[in-house]
Amino acid sequence: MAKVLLVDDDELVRYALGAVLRKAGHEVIEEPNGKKVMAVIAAQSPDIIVTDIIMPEQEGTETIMIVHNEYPDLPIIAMSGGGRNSCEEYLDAAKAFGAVATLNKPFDETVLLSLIKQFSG
Amino acid sequence: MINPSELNLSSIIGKGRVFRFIVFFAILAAALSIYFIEIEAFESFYKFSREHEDWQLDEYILVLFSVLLSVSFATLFATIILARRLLKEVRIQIDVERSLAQSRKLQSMGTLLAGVAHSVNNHLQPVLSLTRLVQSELPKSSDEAQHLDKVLQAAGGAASILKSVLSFSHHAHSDISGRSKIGNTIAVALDIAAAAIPSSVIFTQNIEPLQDTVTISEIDLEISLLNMITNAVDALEGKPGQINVSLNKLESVPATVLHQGKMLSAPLVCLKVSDNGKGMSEDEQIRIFDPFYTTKDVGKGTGLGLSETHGIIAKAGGVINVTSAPGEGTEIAVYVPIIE
Repeated sequence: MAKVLLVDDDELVRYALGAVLRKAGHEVIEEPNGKKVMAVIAAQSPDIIVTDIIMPEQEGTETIMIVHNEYPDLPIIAMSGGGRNSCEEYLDAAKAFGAVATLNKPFDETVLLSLIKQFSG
Repeated sequence: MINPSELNLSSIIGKGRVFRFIVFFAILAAALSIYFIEIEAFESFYKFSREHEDWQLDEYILVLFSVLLSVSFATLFATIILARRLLKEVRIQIDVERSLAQSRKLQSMGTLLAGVAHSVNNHLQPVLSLTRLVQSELPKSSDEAQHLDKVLQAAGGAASILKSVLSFSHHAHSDISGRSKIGNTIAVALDIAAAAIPSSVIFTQNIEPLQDTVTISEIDLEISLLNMITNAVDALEGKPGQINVSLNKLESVPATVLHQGKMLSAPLVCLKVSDNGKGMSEDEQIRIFDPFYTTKDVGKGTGLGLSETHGIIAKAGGVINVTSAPGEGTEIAVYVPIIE
């Protein structure tokens, strides 16, 4: 089972996905602020990161870029509900910055579980 | 923001009738002035000639009178032509302003809807995930599990509508992606659409087998045509009628096409869907591309079809022109530039 860092500014999304991941046996660290991700990684060494793209303090794409530069082997899964640009455009950007997989919200959590299984080793 | 429905002759130049009356009285005043000046001049000259009969000026009087009469008629004629031209230019200006206002309105709506869709998609994620989580712990045949199935259906329906909203929004903002050979794609889409057309409808096609490429993906082109045909079918309200679809290549942009503030370049393709259904009033035509606007009965349409089509066509650098009158039917003409 993996240690998953779940980054999303929406408390309900964190609650729901956290519950799903915990039920599947994963350990979940919840973080609402993209700016604190580096500190959390340094302190808790997660196996994989699941992050939202559009967040108030720091965009998910920026978080992905920073994390990927420092920890190139740490897999990152990006998720987005869309915005001014399409989900695909945000998620394409996330992939370009180093995300290993992307998900359009709302997604089926079984897909997330299988991605975690695939990328967390 | 300007409401496009407020843009008409009345709002730009005052009441239309007042304008026409002013033009009419101006012409009348000009004509009468010329007439009285002529009479006055003629009488003076006639008097002068009578006083100097020995000079034999009768022929000159006749020539002068003819010249003055011709000039007065020419002035009157020119005034009428200029007034008509002015009116035509004002109308063209109004059409351009109306199209620009419509375009700005749709773009603002796109931004607004994108924000709404993003928020609602985020809210749907816990609804769907937690519902499935709880449902997985219940016996499949239990009433509770079946109730949760309905929750999932409803949330899935909402997600589907949001996908269409986001599609409209992104097309209103984004640039180019996806290309297709228009002739082949339209032929495939027509095969699909034919299945949705009731047997009471006479369906005619006039499709040129074009091999030209436009910057619309196959799926978007199919969606656009299906939306247009679905609207035509709905406009017939289940009564017998006729729907015609045509696809032609144009080497130049027809003068009748409303550019809607865009630089429409030739060559281009023209895709038309026409019906002889209930038609639309001018107000309905202005709102036809607004998201969620529908004239259909409750439950028969989401009102997203043509707004989605508008977004797709705008993204490809094209325009949609609507011609319709209540009781006479509707023609929706799509003009899209060819890229190769």
